[in-house]
Amino acid sequence: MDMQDFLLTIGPGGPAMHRLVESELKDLGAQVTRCGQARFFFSANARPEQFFALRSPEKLYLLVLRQKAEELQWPAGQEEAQEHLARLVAEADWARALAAFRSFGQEAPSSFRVSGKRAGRRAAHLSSNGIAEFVGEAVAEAMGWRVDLHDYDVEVVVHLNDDHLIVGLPLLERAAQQAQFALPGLSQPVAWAMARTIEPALGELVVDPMCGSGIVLLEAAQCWRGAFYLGFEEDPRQLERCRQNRSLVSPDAAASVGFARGDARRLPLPNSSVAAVVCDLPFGKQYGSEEDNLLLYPAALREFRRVLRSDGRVVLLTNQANAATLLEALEGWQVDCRRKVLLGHMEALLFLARPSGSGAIAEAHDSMRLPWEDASGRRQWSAMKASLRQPMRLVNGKKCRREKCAAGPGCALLA
Amino acid sequence: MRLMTHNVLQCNKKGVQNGFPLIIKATSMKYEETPFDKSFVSAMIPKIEYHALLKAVSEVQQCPNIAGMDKLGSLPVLPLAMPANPDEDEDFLRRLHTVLFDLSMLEGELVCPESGRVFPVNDGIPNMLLNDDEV
Repeated sequence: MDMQDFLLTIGPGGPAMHRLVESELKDLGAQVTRCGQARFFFSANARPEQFFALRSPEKLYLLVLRQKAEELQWPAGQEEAQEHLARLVAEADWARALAAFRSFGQEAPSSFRVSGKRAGRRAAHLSSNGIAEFVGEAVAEAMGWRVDLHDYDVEVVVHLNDDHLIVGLPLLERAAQQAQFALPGLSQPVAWAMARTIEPALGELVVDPMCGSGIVLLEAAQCWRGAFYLGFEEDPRQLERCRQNRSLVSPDAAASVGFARGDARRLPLPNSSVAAVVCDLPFGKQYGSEEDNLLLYPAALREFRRVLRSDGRVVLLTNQANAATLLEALEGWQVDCRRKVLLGHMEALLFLARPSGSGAIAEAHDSMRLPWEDASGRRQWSAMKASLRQPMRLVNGKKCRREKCAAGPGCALLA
Repeated sequence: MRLMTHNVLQCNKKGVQNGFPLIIKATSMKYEETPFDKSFVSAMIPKIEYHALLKAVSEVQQCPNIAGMDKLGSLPVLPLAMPANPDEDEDFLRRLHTVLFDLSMLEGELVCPESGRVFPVNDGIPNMLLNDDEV
């Protein structure tokens, strides 16, 4: 592929996310021409599979045209301005962009639609809907393509604002959006951090014995494929939420998560069958009381030890008010880490422990860092989560999903 | 409940020595294809109790109502013994994937092979709770 211009968009994640983008683009040998809060413009001539492998973008566009706003002169009349824009788009270097488009395994398009968006003060006499219409006509004529608003081969995105005019073709997108759960029950970043602390490996059985709405396991299943996740919960209403939340993740992640009604103190599992237990323990507010926890925590920890393999691990979350109860229940375990985590205004503690044979308790000190974290702590989590997700896939859609992508994400490489 | 989940559940009622595998009495099941992931299926092989899975498949065959079965045609036939090199046998891994992840039990009962204790399955969720006098 020749040098080609691209645009990528990213999700939230602050400076750490920007650093991830920058390091990925550097590995690609790309030259960044401009970057904003949520978008990076760059040129590169890397191989398609290198683009599929990018973890930071939410979406990648091929740029057909980018012109700075100050380089553009708009005629005063609306019709003349429309004609001017239509001509700019139609006369762009489509041959180069389409060669790149096809090098990603896409067929030469025969149908398309235009999405137009105008914002800002310049060229205010052009409307977003109008752009879609008259640019559509010009592209249809120039390229010989058919307009099809629903079943199109390629989408042409035209953005016009006070910074620039861009014409782009959406090329790659995330195979599965990271689900935003309707009823998470626990802050999603904290759920993800608990899963990250477990770091499930291929072929492991990971159990959440009081799984609530199921989100710790669902966060884990989205980032760490290849383990099987099993959640138990006593409350049928919570199990209903588990099912709803599971329906929001990709089918392959969903297939690796099972739920059953069960009691954390008497799990329906054989001895030494579980690689890791992960659990947001009840704080005794919505469920039970702090007094109940005096009995619940030790009984649950005994059961966790029974089902865990000797080389297993637990990651447990509780709040400060129950921390002493949990520490007592962890007697005879090896506590490797104890990290403070803020849940809203409440201070909670995340414990990482192992069923140690020696019975010696290493006195763990409160720490602000889990073993996998660096000095930037929680600010880094979003970027780390992004860096662990599945590869991107070709956009477009309907046809791709229907015919090519039955083999799963990344299959376009094989097509 | 997928058969993968069934393959790890057991009855731990008081006094029961061998509560595994639970007998499947399904009145309603469904077949839904999920993407085949070779490395996942082969990684799960050491976790799988193969004889229990064979038994589960034969019990699933008794289920009168498997939604989506027209797409599958018939239940995959698994060999009586695990192949010597399962990782290199993609045909076997695909069958194993279908059985473990694409078939789920929606309604029915799981029955402890030793005590006969019944665990109902409703809306795909098995109820494994024991009463206080059972523990």
